[in-house]
Amino acid sequence: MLREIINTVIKKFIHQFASPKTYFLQVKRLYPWVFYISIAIYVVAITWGLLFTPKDFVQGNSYRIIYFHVPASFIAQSLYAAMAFSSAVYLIWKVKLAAYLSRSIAPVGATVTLIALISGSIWGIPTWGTWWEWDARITSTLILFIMYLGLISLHNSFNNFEKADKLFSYLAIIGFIQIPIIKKSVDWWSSLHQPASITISDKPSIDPVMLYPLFLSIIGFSGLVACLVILSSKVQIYKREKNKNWIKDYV
Amino acid sequence: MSNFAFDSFDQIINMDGHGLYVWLVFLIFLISITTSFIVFNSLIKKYKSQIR
Repeated sequence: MLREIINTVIKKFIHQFASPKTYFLQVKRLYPWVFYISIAIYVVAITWGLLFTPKDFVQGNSYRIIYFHVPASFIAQSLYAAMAFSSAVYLIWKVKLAAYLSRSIAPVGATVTLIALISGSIWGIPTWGTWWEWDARITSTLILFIMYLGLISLHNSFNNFEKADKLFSYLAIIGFIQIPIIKKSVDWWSSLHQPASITISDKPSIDPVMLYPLFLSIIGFSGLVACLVILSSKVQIYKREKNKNWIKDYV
Repeated sequence: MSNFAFDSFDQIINMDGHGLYVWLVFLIFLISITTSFIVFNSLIKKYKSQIR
């Protein structure tokens, strides 16, 4: 009984809100707000972090890279989790929009992971004395980047979108296993990379003076990444719904 | 908010020898994000014109 009710509610929700047309028109209204608010938050966060926080006792001024590296690393993993979730929704409830979103997240995720890798490598030069080390955290993040690229290539290699979406979704879900591995890599293996400074269970090991702009930078960057996902999903909608009347009328 | 962390413009650029790393990351970040916005917007334009 409860299962039937849940299924009815989900189906109703999906039919009402998860059609590409409804999504397209809703995000069109939302996009400028998210974009300008995120830009404002990120500019404040970066100015605060780069110019108004004191120098770190151990790392000196090089620690300021944290305001780029941590948001990028955190969002690179969150995007993969979102992509795996969206893929599961597509496979379970056959929601077309979920498949569009999964495919849209992949290029944005690859870009953000690349930013995390490059910023981490540059940060490694003054702090570790090397730009690359095959340690658990760095290697698992590199695998995440390769996974994003692999998923994009896999999807592009098919002419049939439905087949591509199915394979993409299965692989995205299987690949989700690497997210907890990346998170726990610094605890499970001896690593050059420092353990997490912010965890849900413990008090942050980073001083509040440095922590507040870091939180702001994560919020601001998340908003900008959300805007990129929206644009990427619009590309998918234009590409795949081009023969539908509503999109012809809209354009 | 804390006080301004530097005494001069040179200090902001140099950051005690770490300026190269910090500003390089800032630049790479800025270029990557801006390029992504440009690429997605131009793809949208391309597909829109195909539909028209």
